[in-house]
Amino acid sequence: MTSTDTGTVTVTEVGASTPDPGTRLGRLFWVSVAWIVIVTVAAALAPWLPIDDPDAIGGDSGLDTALTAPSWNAWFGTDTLARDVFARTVHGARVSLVVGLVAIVLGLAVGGTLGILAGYVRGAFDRVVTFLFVVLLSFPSLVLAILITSLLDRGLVTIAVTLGVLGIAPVGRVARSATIQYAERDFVRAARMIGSSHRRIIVRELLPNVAAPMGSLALLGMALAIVAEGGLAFLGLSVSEGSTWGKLILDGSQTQTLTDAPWVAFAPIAMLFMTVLALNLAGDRLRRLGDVRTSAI
Amino acid sequence: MGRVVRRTGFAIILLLTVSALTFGAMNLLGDPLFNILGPAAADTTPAGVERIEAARAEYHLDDPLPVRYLRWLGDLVQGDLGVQFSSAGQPPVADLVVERLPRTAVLLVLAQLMATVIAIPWALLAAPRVDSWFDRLSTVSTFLVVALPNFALGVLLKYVFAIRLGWFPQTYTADAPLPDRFHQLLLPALTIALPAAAVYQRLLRDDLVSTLQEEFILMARSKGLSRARILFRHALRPSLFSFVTVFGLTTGALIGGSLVVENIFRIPGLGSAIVEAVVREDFPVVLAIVVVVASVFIVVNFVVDAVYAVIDPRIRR
Amino acid sequence: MAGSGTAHLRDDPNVLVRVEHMVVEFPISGGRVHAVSDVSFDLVEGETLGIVGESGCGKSTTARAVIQMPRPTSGNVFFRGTDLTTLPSEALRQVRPDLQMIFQDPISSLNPRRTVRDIIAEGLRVWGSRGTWTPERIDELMAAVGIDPRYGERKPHQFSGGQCQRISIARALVLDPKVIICDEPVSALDVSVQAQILNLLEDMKERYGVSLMFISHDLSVVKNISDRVMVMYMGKVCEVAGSDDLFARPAHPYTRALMAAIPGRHSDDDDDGVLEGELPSAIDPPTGCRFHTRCPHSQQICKTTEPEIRGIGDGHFVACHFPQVAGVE
Repeated sequence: MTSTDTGTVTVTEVGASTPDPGTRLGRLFWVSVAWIVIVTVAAALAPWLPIDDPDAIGGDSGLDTALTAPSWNAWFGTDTLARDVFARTVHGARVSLVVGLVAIVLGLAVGGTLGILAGYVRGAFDRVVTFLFVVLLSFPSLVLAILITSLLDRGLVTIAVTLGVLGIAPVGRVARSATIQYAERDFVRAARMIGSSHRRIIVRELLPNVAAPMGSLALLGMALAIVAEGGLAFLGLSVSEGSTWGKLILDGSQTQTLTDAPWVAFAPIAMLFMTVLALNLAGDRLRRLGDVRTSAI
Repeated sequence: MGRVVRRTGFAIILLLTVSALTFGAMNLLGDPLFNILGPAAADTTPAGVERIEAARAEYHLDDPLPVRYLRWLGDLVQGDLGVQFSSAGQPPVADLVVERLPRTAVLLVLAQLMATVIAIPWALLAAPRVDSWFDRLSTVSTFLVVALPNFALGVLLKYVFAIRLGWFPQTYTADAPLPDRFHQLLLPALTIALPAAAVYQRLLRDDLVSTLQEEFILMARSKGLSRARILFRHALRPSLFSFVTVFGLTTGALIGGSLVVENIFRIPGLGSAIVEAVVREDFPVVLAIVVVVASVFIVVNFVVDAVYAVIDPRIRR
Repeated sequence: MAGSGTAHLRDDPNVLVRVEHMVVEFPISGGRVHAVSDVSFDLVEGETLGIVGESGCGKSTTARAVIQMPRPTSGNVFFRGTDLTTLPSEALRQVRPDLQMIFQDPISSLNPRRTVRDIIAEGLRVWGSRGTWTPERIDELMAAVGIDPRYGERKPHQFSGGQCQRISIARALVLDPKVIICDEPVSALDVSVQAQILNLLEDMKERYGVSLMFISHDLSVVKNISDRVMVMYMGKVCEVAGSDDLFARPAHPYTRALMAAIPGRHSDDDDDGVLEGELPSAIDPPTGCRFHTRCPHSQQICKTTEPEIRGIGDGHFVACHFPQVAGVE
């Protein structure tokens, strides 16, 4: 791995531990994708699935008691208000995934556009954008998120946009360096010789190449956004309405609850962990496939 | 020498930009008058208006934003961060920062130390045995640890080591004797350190693996030097470059992590201070903590950059 | 040598490209790189002009400046009478299809993410059909350059270097250009493949009536394909002549040194050994004739006065105070 004076970090896969680099995605990738799909579908269809109402005290039957251990009746047990933890975890995925998705789409759109333009145009525009990225990266990301949410409201959109802003600089840097790497190639010169407009060169020649590292970054970034939302939730600063994995874990981590009924926290922790792991693994495999040796830390 | 001056200048420009942006956002998006007076800022009785006018004059709220920024910056440089509007008696923000910052700082330093102490031997064990069961297991565990968010890890560690095993206290007590407080910080520090250690191990291991394939290592080996000697005397130092860089960059993530972990273990550090301030809308406190934390981060990266120049002779000029 | 002047420019009505006093300099920290210094030449319709010289002599920069990538620092480039150097960018874009280019690196020349058919047809998508080629005839064009049309949906990395250059040639031809600039098109290829690509270029030139500017560091490659050859050294023109004439009686000491370096070719003059000494800095080039620091025939005048290009008969021009030809002194 090497570093540049602006602090960009690139990680190079080294050694024989990289099995079969760049040819196949492998089984692990597809298992990860399958998990992500299952979680997403379950979250999207949660209200129509045959599971308990997440807010029903005592479960759908109204007969469950508080803090019962996982059983056939309540897979992940019940919480302090006798609500079904499994149902709450599945429903909690809704906000977490939406926040993660919106955030990374925003990060890709804004960061990607800025990075590609900066890498293609260079000159003063590049210097301004690069400085902007450095400034954004000078705030520890959670601190920046706290700052923004403290000034605005804590609606779903605000939180998602805030976490998207955190993604702009890391995404932008990777997009910029990938663009620079490709813009120097002769096929871009050839496109100019043909008489392609700058727009066409960016869209048809550069974008397909820059999209490869972006794809893996999107998966990693989505994981980061979901985790960041959890961090905000833990500080009591995430979305004011609805439950998220972070809020569920926070509920379950109150000392008394954690002592008496650890499953209240462990169930959402397990879901969060598996999902983040799946996103990380899929992103990592995709990065190796593209043989793109950059990863934003 | 030119490099030192350039980097210092850049760090200062960055500090000014970051503080100006934070100050600007706070004053444009927030309502400073409300922060000073609370609900009384909406008082329309003659007495209320008079108080509002007095507050405007006292805090120079009618001056243009850049002037207010410069005044605030001037105060900041002299150690005056304003007052905590939301607290009884409006004590100085600086008092709060001085009280809370050391705890967060100790937690972070402890965590970075732990991460380094874990990562270096771990990488040194794994790198010479590429693809052995140990190496594979290491890689898998780093993936698992990195996928576990710090708050989740904190909850798990708290459950296992504090609640079930009872090795550590569940919360922090600020007035306990020093050895006890150190003991209380170990579990939170480990929560922050583990993911960092996993990141460091992966980087260092990869760098070591490639260093070990270099010709000067083959040369050393052909001279019959022992494996341990080759690892420590020849391979480690050239492999530390990326580790040092990431060490600095990771500090940002660790600062965020410590804010969260402080809340799990009830450590009254900057994390709980900023959360309380956000909830009470005490913006001078939020502003001060954001600027202090961002400055620390910038300074840490500046120092790391200097260290990098020292260990890499190619940059020292 | 390393001379200036325009004596070798022709008054032919069929001149396609005419470059006058072209200068290309790049600012760098601590000075300017004098990549091309007052170079003039022309290209007549149907002709192949070879440009040779060591790497770093400015031949590639010259070619790129002709197509305004980058625009030259000063001087003029006329294409069919239009000065490209003063053309606004949109007008320049309109001219571009007439001037195409083939690059040295076959891998870097082709977008790794697009299919071969896509790459070849791109020009038609931008401009529509300009004559010979239409989207329906892409298969025919692929066959013409020796790429099986059945492989049209493959990506560049599935082809060899030589095949990639064939694809590049097809991409250049699709717009029915007037001039194709070939920047070391075979130097990255195996020797066995080089001849095939050179033959293909000659074929295409005959069949589709394009003119070529052929840049190479390799005299033996240039010799066969070129009608006329220009030898460059450190951003200056040394010698211009018909290909056969140049090889029969090289007049410039630098040309003679280059020829002496061709394996299997023995020089009739012991002085023309392999070049000695380092290539001087392009930031601070030598005064007078830029070649004087390495020239076996260097005299005092060479250090102070830059030689003008002058004719020595039969369309043979040389920029040297002491050309190595009987009867000229």
